[in-house]
Amino acid sequence: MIGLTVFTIIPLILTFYIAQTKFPLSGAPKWIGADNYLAILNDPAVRTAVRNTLTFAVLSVPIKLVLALVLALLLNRATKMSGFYQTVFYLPFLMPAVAGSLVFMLMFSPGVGPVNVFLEFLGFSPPDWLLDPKVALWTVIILNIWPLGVETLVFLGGLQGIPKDVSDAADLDSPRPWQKFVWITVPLITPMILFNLVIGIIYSFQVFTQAIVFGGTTGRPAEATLVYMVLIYRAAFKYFNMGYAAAMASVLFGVVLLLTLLIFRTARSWVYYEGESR
Amino acid sequence: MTPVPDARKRRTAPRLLWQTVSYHGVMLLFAAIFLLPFFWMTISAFKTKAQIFADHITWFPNPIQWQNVVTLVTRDDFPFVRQFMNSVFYAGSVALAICFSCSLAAYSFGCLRWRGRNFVFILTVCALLLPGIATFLPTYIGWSKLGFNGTYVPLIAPALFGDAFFIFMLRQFFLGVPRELLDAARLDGASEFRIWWQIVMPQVRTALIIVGLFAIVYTWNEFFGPLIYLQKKEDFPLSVGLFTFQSGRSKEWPLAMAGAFFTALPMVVLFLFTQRLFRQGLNSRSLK
Amino acid sequence: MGSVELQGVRKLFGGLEVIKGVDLTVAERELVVFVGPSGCGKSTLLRMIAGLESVDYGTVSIAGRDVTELAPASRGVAMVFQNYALYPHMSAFDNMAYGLRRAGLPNAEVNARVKKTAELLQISELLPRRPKSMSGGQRQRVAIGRAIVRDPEVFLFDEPLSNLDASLRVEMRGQIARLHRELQATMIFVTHDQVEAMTLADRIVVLNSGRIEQVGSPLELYANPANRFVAGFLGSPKMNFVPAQVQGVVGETATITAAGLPTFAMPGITGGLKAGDAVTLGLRAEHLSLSPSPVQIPATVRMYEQLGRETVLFVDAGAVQSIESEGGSGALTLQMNQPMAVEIGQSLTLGFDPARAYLFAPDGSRCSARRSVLPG
Repeated sequence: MIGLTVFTIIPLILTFYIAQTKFPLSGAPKWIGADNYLAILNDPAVRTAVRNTLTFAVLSVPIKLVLALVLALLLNRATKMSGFYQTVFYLPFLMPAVAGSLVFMLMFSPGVGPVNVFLEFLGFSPPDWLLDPKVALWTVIILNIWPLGVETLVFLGGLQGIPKDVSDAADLDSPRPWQKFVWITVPLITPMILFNLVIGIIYSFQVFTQAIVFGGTTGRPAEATLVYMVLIYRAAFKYFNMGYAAAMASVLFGVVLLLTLLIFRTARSWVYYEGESR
Repeated sequence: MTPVPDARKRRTAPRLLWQTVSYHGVMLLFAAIFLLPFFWMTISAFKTKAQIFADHITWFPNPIQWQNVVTLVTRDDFPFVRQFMNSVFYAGSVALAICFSCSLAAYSFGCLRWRGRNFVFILTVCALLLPGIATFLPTYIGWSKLGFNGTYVPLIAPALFGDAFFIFMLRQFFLGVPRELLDAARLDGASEFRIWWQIVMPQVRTALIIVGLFAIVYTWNEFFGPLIYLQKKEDFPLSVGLFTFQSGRSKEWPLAMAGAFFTALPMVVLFLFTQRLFRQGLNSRSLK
Repeated sequence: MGSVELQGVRKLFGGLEVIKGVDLTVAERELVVFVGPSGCGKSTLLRMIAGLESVDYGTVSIAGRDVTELAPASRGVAMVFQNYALYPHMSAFDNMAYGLRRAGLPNAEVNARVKKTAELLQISELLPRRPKSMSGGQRQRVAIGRAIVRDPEVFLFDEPLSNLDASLRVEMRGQIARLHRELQATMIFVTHDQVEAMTLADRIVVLNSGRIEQVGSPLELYANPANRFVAGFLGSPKMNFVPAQVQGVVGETATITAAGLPTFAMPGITGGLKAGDAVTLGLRAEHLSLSPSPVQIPATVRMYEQLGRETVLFVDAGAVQSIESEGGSGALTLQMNQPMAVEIGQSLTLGFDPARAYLFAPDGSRCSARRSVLPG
């Protein structure tokens, strides 16, 4: 038994260590030291990709969390339709990434998809989602926000975990409902917020499938959807520049790791812990 | 005390009614928005190309192009059926492997006691947080050198070693197995392996099914792995197949939609039949 | 401190009416206890006063103001919960300060009030600590402190002592009584424990299935229960109920017969009884005596409980069968206020004075005479 479990850990750790020896190119391993890293800093494509990825993460994670929380609050009422609603909101999670991306491309196509039709109906003049570089990334963002089933369920679990007594006491003490929300409800679900935040960040920094379906390896249109992962992929499998790709990957890893640690560090101060979570 | 006759009208009725109506109204609106992509995908799958790109939107295909389906399965350059089977094979094997390996690991973490157990477990959980990018490149190079590039081996083998996420999930369930059961078995002289197989596994059957389901859904939608390891169209699972088909021919939208539709359909159907289990699986996870 | 008035209050859950028309006035500075069996609606009623449950029909007024439509926080009530309901992520100080801060009071005043209340309850050392690190009794006092600090019109207590162990319960009971006197506060207290009700209340409200059975002072309810339900609910050991029949009524005296009992007369009967009516005779355990009495019954001891200060005997009295007996299958319960040497199977003669007995009409209401609350 112990042997088997060690087996599960070793590949994980091993690959991590292998990742350390990332300098050589594939095919003809050559040691070029830190040249790759320097090249990264100078590569304009990298700058664009970083900017895109950061924008993506900074926009999609908070919006998704807020929406998930709102949805969880709405779902928290027990009505006869609750089961139905939960199913509906969880369903997008199941849409395969590729399929979903394609559908979104179609839906957001001006003149073809319903999105722009609605917007025009409401009186806006909608942009060209697919071809306008300024908004193309937004399409991917929305695509990523759409499946918020998991986050919502996590929040819902948290909300339902608040004892009714405490909720009642808060009702008696809070003249305005939003006060109860800010001071009592939110602090008590901070573990869930933390969880969703970390997962969200890790995932959004590595977004790949949606971006590549949408914009190909060039980040159509005009590199607006070129995210970091796509760039890595391109470097590794299109240009076969393994070393470079590896360097990029390690940078990303470092950043994400740092960020995660940072969040956990600060978590002490703002997350409420129930006690030992066994 | 005598009850008061209906002279005092039910004070809360109008306000309550309005609240309920507006609540459901909002929820239904959201629901419609959320379901829109599914709806759109379905109707587009059965339209002609002209209809998709018509000047004004058609909400319902007319006539329903059933032959899109036929074309889909008979197209040469899009070996749909083959890829579908690939997906099934891929998802199925991974799910089985996961169930096997993760339950072993979870058993070890949850039911056995050994030194450093908690430490190793924390490490495993940290692996969860480890972004996949750190490891994929060297792993890829490794597999290529071993000559397994182009097969499903690199995609399935890791599953045999366990996945941190599922280990964590299963361990929660394993922790719930009463210790007396295990102690009794040990007293009877059963080896740990036997205990695992005959005693504990039946107990956590539901958990295994849940994990299996999650693994299936996750693998079915998996894209990156197959993308980098497989080269031939016939080998692709649906996710990659759909992608290559689409990026090759950007004009064949109805077919692409049909492909998307049938890629998504099995998952949706699976979900609808096993919802309860999905939700159970997520609920016990919210203990962080 | 304010009064509370309920008029025609009704509540339905789905199709089921859980509060069936309640009219009640709680005077200023009164401590009223809602008591009744599980599911009788006492907690629901309390929560309706607090605003945590909606009122379907009728009105709730506090200190003269109609609060039926108002949010809980605007009604001027404070509540102490069975599970304390302290905000787990805040210190005791913050718990108590929360309501005041949200209401907009300046910091200086908030601090002053919290400190003063903490001293009153002797929990000043607990202020910086979190609920997690406190014992049940300590948490309860913080919860009470949180209520006091708000200076409400009415204090509501929802079975606050049920989660405490026995000795702590007695101590807290005394504390609450003391608080009531010192704060001169209007309090409504919900409990299922009749001892708590009897000891704390100025007046008791007995509830059963959503209806008020009787309202009155503890002694009044004990001496003159309005119906069989109240009679059986208050008093431990429970009152003995023996089915009987009215043989005849002359003026205000009824002649009662029952299986196994000699026929006897009961004076002061009201309620329009006639010959042939099936009635219930009510005998308190402490009114059954082993000394010579007007009505005698031979019996054998089936079981007994020696409690040191008193002895409770469960006896078989032949044809005289008691309904819903605590001694099981028809046994009569006797309470003697002294320790006694007793054996199972021992024969004895017990008796009672009809003047001390109760009579309940077929519909359950009491038809025997009202008697004075205190003996003498």
